[in-house]
Amino acid sequence: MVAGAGAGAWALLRDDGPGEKEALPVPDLVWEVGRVRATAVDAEARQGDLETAGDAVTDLLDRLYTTAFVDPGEWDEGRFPGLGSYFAGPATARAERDRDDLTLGGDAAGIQRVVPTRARLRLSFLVDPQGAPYAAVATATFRADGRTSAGGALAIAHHGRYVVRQVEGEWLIVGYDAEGSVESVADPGPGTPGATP
Amino acid sequence: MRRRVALGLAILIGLGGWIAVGAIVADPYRARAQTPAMEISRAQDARFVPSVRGNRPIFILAIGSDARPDEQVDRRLADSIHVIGVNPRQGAASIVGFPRDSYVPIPGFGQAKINEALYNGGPELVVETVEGVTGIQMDYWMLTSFQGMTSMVNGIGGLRVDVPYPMDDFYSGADFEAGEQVLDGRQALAFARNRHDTPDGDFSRSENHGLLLMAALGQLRSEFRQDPSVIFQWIAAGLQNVQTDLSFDEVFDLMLTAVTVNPEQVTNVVLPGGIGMAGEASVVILTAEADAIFSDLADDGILQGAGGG
Repeated sequence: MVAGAGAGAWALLRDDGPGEKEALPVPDLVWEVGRVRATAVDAEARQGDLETAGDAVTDLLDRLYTTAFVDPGEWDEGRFPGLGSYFAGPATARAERDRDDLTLGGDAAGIQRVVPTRARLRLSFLVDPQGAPYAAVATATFRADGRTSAGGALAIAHHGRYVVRQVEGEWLIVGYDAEGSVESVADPGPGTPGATP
Repeated sequence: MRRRVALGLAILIGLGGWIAVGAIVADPYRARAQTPAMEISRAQDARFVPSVRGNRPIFILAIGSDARPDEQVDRRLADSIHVIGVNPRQGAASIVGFPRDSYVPIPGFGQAKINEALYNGGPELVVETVEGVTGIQMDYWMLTSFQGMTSMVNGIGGLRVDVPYPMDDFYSGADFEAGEQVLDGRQALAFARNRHDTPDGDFSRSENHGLLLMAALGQLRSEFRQDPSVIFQWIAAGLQNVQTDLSFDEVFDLMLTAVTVNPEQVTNVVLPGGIGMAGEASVVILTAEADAIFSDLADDGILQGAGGG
């Protein structure tokens, strides 16, 4: 879920005029994390290690979605120069090619603001023979309301499954499977279902 | 955003599932959509990027020991010996089975049946022997036993296998109708051990070992598409029941690469040979066609010539 989403946030969007992208505050992105699962090869994971790893993976996805959807300052007219920093190995080059599927893509140039309305995350870890969290699959569901520079309302949806692992001490994405959509919608106005979290 | 994509590792079939996901994502908005900013298209085939880097094929030697539960797995006869060539770039693979009675030079032990290499020198000597026969350097080896295979199949919840013909074999316990069915660990072992009620004895048995590997690959790919985290269950089941020189990192990368291999791009062959005698022992003399298969396999891990199916 996104803090700050809701009728109030939607009203804020409605009040923003074209060309004011830079002046708007970046909405918070708050993830609702479901039960964390773990599969152990041999030794069971220590709960504290799992929690630490869970926080790190959640932070990774938080930064990815902030870059890809929430923070206009990261979009650079749809080029998303920071996108590759969340990936490792062969997935890095592929992510650059799949930019349009992992982010707002070229649509970003015409979008002024995105306010998340739902952000859910499921985590499943692989625990290595020494009992340390080694890799995870993170399943992210993201919904948001958006506003174009011309004042049109948008419905944004994205679903991604990410294989992440520690690479030189940092949790990074090594594989993914993602889809999403950006659609123009009738302006729901404040208090309509589309404007509430 | 325009379409659904996928990278990384992993294995197929979830088109229906993907379409369902796409519908769930799209429908709440469709009712009030005016002019779609972008047409939503749905993936026909999600792809994951191989996790193994490089353009070179990977060769893995899979060894099945006939060790019983109380016996040393790496000092028994090798009932099953397969070279698995994986081409990550093309998402293709080959499985080449050695008849266990193949009469080949075993370094330090002279000419002998290839299954004796494990007994005489463990998996390392099997690798050395196979490398000498094929001229192909093995990158890794994996070794399991009857018990290991049984536990492994049970650990992944059974294996869906297309049994090629009816089997009713007292010795192995294989008792199957032809056709696709889910085998538990005990049944998969019986299927793998049957050489009496098969069209071509041990050659057929070796071919059936390849079928099991292909079934596992297809199932992993399918399950991964449904839920990528199942790969963790497969890794755990594998490592708990297999000896290997692969590091944990390499196992993980290889599994992620395995799911990118299209089961339809996997060729399963058994080396051709004629029956001969070595003293009083019946052996298999590999034919010149086997050399052609090795040459075909060596450059890219894919069989494209006469040996390929």
